Amino acid sequence: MPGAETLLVSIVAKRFGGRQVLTDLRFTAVPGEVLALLAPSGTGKTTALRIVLGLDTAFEGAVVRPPGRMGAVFQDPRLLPWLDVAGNLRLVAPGLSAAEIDGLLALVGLQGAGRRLPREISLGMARRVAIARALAVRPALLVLDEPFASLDPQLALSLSRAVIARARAGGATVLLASHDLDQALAIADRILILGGPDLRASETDSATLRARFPFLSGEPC
Amino acid sequence: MTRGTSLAGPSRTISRLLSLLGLIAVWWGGARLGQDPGRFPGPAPVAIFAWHALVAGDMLAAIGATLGRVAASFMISMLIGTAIGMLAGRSRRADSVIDPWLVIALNLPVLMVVVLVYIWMGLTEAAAILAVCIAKIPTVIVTIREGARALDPAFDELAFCFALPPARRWRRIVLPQMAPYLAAAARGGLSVTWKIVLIVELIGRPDGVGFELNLLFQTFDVAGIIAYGLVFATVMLALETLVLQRLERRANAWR
Repeated sequence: MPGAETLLVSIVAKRFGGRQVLTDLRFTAVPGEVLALLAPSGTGKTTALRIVLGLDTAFEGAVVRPPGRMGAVFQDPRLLPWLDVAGNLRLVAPGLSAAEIDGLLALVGLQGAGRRLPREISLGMARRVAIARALAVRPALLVLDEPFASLDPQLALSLSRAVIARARAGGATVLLASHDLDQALAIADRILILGGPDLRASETDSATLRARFPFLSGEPC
Repeated sequence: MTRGTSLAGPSRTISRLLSLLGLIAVWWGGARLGQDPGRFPGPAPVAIFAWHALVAGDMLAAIGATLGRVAASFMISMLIGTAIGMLAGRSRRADSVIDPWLVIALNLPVLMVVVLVYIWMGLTEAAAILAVCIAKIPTVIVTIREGARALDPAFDELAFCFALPPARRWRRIVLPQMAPYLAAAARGGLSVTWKIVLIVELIGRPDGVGFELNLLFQTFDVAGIIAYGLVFATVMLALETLVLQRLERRANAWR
């Protein structure tokens, strides 16, 4: 029997018009756990995350989220252009002190960037601000949609490890969408592979995948 | 190296001043050619009338009364027009109900509205302000509705996911996006409002610039009509430049 803090997802079917994009996607995740949805682009990862976040309610099935706030990192950073970086963090967590903002920005490698406007930073930096913003609310559920996509592999790996460690320490359930198996292996406890021939998901743990694909370099977080 | 051809600030100011002086010269020349100062006075008699009316006459009191009506009807129109415009822009169902009313309201002749409201409510201050609001609110609705339709849904999703309280969502997300549309509605609104107020005063108020214009019309005092018109237009232009344009620049500073 899952606890009250468990994320329960049961998507029987999701269609766009006549096209079925998700079929029988069911999983659970507990606080502190990192679950990766792995699939090539265009196979329904973002759709699944939008359903989990409550942004898409036109589906067959049910989602039960853990109590507490959600943190979300979308594929586009969605920073408010009229607020500086610190203002974008305070938008979701107005009680943040200057030291806490500095700490969050340092975590994503953006020390001293608090006063800069979104138009003054690169896309990669903006995505890191979006990650810091999601962590700022101390989320019970952290949903990350390809959060490290535009970063160089070395930075992506170190950043992803730091972010996941921070989320785990706060007891967050982390749901990550990625098309990068290497990255998923490095940070996830379990991996759900979407987009099989019948659109059904298959689940495996990172150790099994590593055994099947020994050339993959991902190390456990 | 390529040089731009745009004029720098001081050059532009000089050009505008020269253009204005040119207009006064044309006016002066036309009045000289017309040789009928009673019907078409030159700049000098108009300036003299304006000076006397400002210093010793009723012009300041008239401008004050009109400004009061402009301020009241402007604020009421902006408040109601913004609320309805937001509703129409955010809800298709609401828009389908509001739109037919809006189309009719936009095409009502202002003069008809003013006359009807005076007939129904009497020649009262409330009727005057209501008539201006009825004429003005539809144009505010149209502008604000466009702004509400242009709100970025990605930011709505952001607010939903992070469970932002409504007040913060409005202040930090909606209002900054709406600022250009609010500014456009305010600027357009002000220029239309004061012109309607003059009509309302001309027909049925015992004071204000419109009332004075009516008196001057009855005595065929063309210099007085031009003087009142120009002085009040200058006041409104100053308000728009010094207040509204500054607010607009401040709202758009992040761009």
